Amino acid sequence: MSLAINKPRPDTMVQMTFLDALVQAQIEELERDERVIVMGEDIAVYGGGKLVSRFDERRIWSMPISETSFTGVGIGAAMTGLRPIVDLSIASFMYLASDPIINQASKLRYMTGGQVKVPVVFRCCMYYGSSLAAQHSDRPYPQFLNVPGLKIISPTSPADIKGLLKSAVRDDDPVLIFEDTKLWPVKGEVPTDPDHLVPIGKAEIKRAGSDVTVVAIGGAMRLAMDAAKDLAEEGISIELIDPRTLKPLDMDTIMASVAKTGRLVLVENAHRVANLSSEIAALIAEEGFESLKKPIRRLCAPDVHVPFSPALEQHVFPGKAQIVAAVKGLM
Amino acid sequence: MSTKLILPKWGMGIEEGTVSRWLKAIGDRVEQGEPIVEIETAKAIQEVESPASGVLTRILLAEGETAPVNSEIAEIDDSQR
Amino acid sequence: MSLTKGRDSETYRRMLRIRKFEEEGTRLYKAGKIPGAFHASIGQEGTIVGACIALCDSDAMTGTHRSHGHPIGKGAELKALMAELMGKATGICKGRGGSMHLADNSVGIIGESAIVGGGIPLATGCGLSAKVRQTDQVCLCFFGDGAVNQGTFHESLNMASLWKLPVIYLCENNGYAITTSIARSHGQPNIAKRAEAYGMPGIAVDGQDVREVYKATSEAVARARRGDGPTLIEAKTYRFDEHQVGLFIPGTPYRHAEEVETNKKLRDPLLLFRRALLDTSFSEAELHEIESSVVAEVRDAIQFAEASPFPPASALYDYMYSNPILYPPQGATSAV
Repeated sequence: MSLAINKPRPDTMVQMTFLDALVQAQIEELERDERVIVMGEDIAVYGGGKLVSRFDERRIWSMPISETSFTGVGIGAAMTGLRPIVDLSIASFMYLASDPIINQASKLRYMTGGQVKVPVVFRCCMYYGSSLAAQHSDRPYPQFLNVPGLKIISPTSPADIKGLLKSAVRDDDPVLIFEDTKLWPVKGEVPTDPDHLVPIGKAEIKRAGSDVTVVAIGGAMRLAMDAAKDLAEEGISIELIDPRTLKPLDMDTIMASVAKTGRLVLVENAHRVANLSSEIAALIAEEGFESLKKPIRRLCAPDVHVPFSPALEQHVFPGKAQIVAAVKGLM
Repeated sequence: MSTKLILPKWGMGIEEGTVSRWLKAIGDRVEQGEPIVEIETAKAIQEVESPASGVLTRILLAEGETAPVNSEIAEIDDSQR
Repeated sequence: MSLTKGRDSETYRRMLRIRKFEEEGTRLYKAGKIPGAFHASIGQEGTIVGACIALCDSDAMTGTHRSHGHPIGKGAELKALMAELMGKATGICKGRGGSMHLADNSVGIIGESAIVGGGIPLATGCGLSAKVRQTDQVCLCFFGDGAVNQGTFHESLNMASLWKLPVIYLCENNGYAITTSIARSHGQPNIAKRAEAYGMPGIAVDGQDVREVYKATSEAVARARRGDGPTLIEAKTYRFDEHQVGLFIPGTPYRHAEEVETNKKLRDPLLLFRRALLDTSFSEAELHEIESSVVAEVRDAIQFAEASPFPPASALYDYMYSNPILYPPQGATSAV
């Protein structure tokens, strides 16, 4: 313990992409704690080339195509002294993994009356908007929001993916990370401190403003930031919030912003039925109704599958123009 | 006849690329299969080969600029063999 | 007492504990003292204890919805187990698991999964963990004949064989997945034979003969500790009671009353082992002493459980997270 306290804390920053920060965080955690292992299919192909070349087979486990069971293997290993990062690569594979995640990882601490802990991280990437059709384009986090016992994060900046992934690895509960591939090339300043941690359960105000609160999730953040810039030029001031953690949700930050602006636009790329926006809207309706000057607006993927043809797919996900229009509609 | 140089697709999740360096300048001769530009994506920096032999006549994406995959980024005049 | 005699004595004691615990549990269940569902493993004690007794205290284990026998077989105390059956605050799982999930981590159990086949990957992960941590720990994985038709069985055995993980896959084959017989559900009814497809040894044993199960499991444990990988053991056993106490099953019976009676009469693992002990090294008086002490243990466990309080409503959210953040969240308690 004293080692960590006495260690010099470099506060230098370095420019890197979201994907590089994600890999960097895993390298640092693997180096810091020998209980950390990475398990996944074709790890090098899905962005983990540096992990495979740096660590031996005892730390980086290449999995056969058995998503359900290797997820369960990660859980069993977590319950017996390791801290696995289970890489499920494509988010659609979360459905195969969902049985052990829901029935075992999320429940076992509770069902054993606290006798066991399950310190495991499940990662997956959300690919969409690039003609991969419905079976490879899912954003399935809403299904998992309905599961007690899980923590779910979806950071949008390089510094946050590094800090939140590290917090997830060091957390004693199961944490799901939904990474949006739209954010992979995004560059930003990232602290070089190997103990740079972003707390799970804390939202961030990306841009302070006074007219309209916009909450954007995952890849929607990029478009929302562009929209906020454009609207600022027209004199409309956006307060832009990134929940970063989807469960447990930091409603205090969102509620405080809505109390100030009285207007709320929610943007996310999951389907609109019972998604995170639904939950935020419900909580605002229950506990923040008096603050609202206008109805809440939700911009989400409609209740239709993601089509293959670009001609069709371009109509599925909310774009910058829709965000701008929704905000103006509330003014 | 001119041949267009297209920003290639490198696999799932890579939807855009940034020119890190042009290896040829306008007016330079290039051979088919010769590296012509370095593109940086989220995963790596990769060389892109010329699709034709001829003269590089237009560059549509400057160094440091970013474009989606499948965008036209240059033209090669292959009539000047 | 010789080593063998000491082990035999402990084996008999644990088998009897399961029998008496479940007989009394069944009585209490019918009397309304135990809520939920009650799946007794009476008839399967030889398989459970024969396998458990081959382990060290530090070895791990996973079990199934028919969960009472597993912790007892591994040496758990009875009080907290009985209290759990009644949903009491002093239960081993603080009243959050119940009959199908009697996991006692103090004897190495990491889970009793009521999702059929759900424990198989967990046990495999425990084996992977032992390998990474470079310990000589092994994991014993219990599952039934129904679970071998789950994808997790296939996937997990493949991985365990590939990486030579220290896992003993022990199938308690009691012939029926609820009412569905092996003949009606298994393309390959010889379960041990499936091991060959995964490149590991597969051994079929008489699950009613506790010494045979012990011998096969000991060999599998030794193989696992040597680093030679997993073993599949199929213990052919029999469930004396219905799948679940009180379960009403309409239509033609799935097993004949005569089949059940014959097994109870001729294939009771406790009677078979008792006879074998008397034939070799134990006197009637010695066995009586074990029997009366087990009866007393079960009686004490019931007294403890009945005297224990139920968990208070204020404890509803306890044990959800190791390090809670904003938990329970806003609005969460208003619905309760």
